[in-house]
Amino acid sequence: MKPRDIIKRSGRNLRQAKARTILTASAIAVGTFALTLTLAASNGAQHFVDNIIKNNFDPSELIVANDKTVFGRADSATPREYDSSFGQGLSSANAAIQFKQLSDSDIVKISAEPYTENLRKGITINLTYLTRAGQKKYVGVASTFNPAQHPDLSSGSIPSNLGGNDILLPEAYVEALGFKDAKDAIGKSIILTVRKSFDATDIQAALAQGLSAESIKSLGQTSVTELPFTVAAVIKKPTTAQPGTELYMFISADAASRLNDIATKGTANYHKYNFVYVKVKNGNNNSDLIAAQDKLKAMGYTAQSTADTQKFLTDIIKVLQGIVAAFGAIAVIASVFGIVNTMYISVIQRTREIGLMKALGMRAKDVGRLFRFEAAWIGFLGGIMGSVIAFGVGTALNPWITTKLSLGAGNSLLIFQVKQIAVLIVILMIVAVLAGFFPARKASKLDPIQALRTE
Amino acid sequence: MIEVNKLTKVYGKKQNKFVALKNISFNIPNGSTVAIIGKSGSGKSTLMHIMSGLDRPDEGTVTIGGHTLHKLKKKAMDEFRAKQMGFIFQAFFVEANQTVYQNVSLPLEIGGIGVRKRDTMIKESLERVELTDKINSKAGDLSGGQKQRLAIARAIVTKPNLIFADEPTGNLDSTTGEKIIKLLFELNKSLGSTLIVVTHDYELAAKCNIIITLKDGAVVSVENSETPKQKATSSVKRVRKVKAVI
Repeated sequence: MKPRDIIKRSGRNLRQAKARTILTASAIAVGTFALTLTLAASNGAQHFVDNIIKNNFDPSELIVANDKTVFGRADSATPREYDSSFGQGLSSANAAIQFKQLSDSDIVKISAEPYTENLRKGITINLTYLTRAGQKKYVGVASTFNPAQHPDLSSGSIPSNLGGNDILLPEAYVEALGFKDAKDAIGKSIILTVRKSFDATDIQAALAQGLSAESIKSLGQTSVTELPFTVAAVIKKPTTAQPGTELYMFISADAASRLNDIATKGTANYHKYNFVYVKVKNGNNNSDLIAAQDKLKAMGYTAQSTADTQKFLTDIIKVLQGIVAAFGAIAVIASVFGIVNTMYISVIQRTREIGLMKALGMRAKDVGRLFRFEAAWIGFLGGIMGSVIAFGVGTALNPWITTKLSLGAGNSLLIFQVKQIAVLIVILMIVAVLAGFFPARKASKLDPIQALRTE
Repeated sequence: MIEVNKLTKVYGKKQNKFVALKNISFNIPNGSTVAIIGKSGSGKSTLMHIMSGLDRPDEGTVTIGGHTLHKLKKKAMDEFRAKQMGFIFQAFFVEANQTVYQNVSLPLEIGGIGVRKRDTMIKESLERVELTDKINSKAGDLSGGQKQRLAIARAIVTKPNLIFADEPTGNLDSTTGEKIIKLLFELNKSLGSTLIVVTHDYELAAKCNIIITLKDGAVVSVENSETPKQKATSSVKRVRKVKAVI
């Protein structure tokens, strides 16, 4: 019997038991629904992470630190010895952590390496506040502008070399600082302030003036330094920024160093950096990038590439997706029993038909095939039902999810790929065929004489 | 020529042993009409199953057109049955939810016949049994007589050399049964195929060239109306003779 005839006949047989076929396929459809949405969410998350990487990182750069704690890879279960020269911060669980920072000598050493094209310090300053004449004060964070960043602008433009007093202001501050709109903010001045730490010089100066109420007051007045900046551009709320950096304002490396020096002078963090960006010569060539990364590791540093950062982000997403996919897979496995049951019932109900086909010369192999194709049809139908419903529901929910998760226009959590769905359906068909294996074998082994005698 | 030589078939073992066929031998010339007659349990169906290759004898052979059936491998046996044999059953065994066309198509699909040729053969077969007007009807919607005509169309569609009919009129009223018998014999003449009918019906048996009478698994008589001695015997006398041996 030709395969085409077997396929047609198996399809016809299923059409004759529509309700049973649809119910059995529905069980598979539940699993398919979950798996299709998981795949779509995986695509969406991957796309989102890719955009974050593309819009925030230069793939030819390495992020270099002196301590793996900076990249969240510390052993948090083992006590760590205190070192007063170490920098301090907070873990994701808000626990105090210490980490060894990079010093100027480290920067000189790394800059001198033959693979280093240039080096940028990664500086992030927690401002005391930012304000504008006659306006309220707001808390904020200023960070070194990374040329790999491509923020969407509401107004203005980013100069090729960000000037010493230029600032890229997040859109959210426009109204807060009393500007009419983004355009109005361009070229206007705003004030960033940092708290100057006390150091020995300040105390000595105060003591030199004598310990009067006035000298103590003057010590308090010098504790905050205000620096004016000019708004070069207003940046839109970034949809693909690293989480938590949405309100970061960006300044030049020089300005960031200046602010950082004021804020850290006299502390253990003075001229210490959590990490630096090292642009590798021919860094777009993966082998050169890995070679540089290995050398930095050999020097005792921790170096993370864009791919590592991407992997770090996607690994978290993959774990969550794995959980959802596991539920989908369990649903598919449960549906396998439904197929086995349906196929066995079908074999029993069609015993005489099987006997007749065998009497007419149909080979046992073809009888088995007929039932396996029926199982494949059920898998196909369940796959189509589940994926079409998932596509419909996902497409309908995408705008709502985008708004709820603040993904920004043009970003969707659920991205459906036809090729992936097709592969999923083929896999489901294979699973269904495997589920139909034993019923098909029972059918193929039926004795035609006994089968024809069945009432 | 069909040669049945010393067939023996035993079911069960030891105390449950049942001898269904005992050392049966006879020959059937091509194009004959043959009735296998006997009471229930006489071995008629077992004989038909072995002659059609659906079952295997414990001893003896069945040779059809030079092919010893039970020496054929399974695949060759299936192919032989698909190409050389047609089957008509008492219970019709039509696929009720499929159309008349689809039912007749089954043996051709099994035989691997292409779609175009298949279409011609199905229509020709349905024309022979006068069911062309029901071609797209569901088999389940047909009357008993129509179902049996459909079963006949399915049996003859591959133009087999040998047609087995197991109690073909058993589920039909006498008028319809007579029509079916008439059709079977007409087809035997027009197609030239050998017709082997397993039946309780003496009237039907009397119309056949050869009447093989079984009793307790053994052949008690072979009446051949083609032999000079028996040619002159009327069908009434033949029936009487058969009844006497049973």
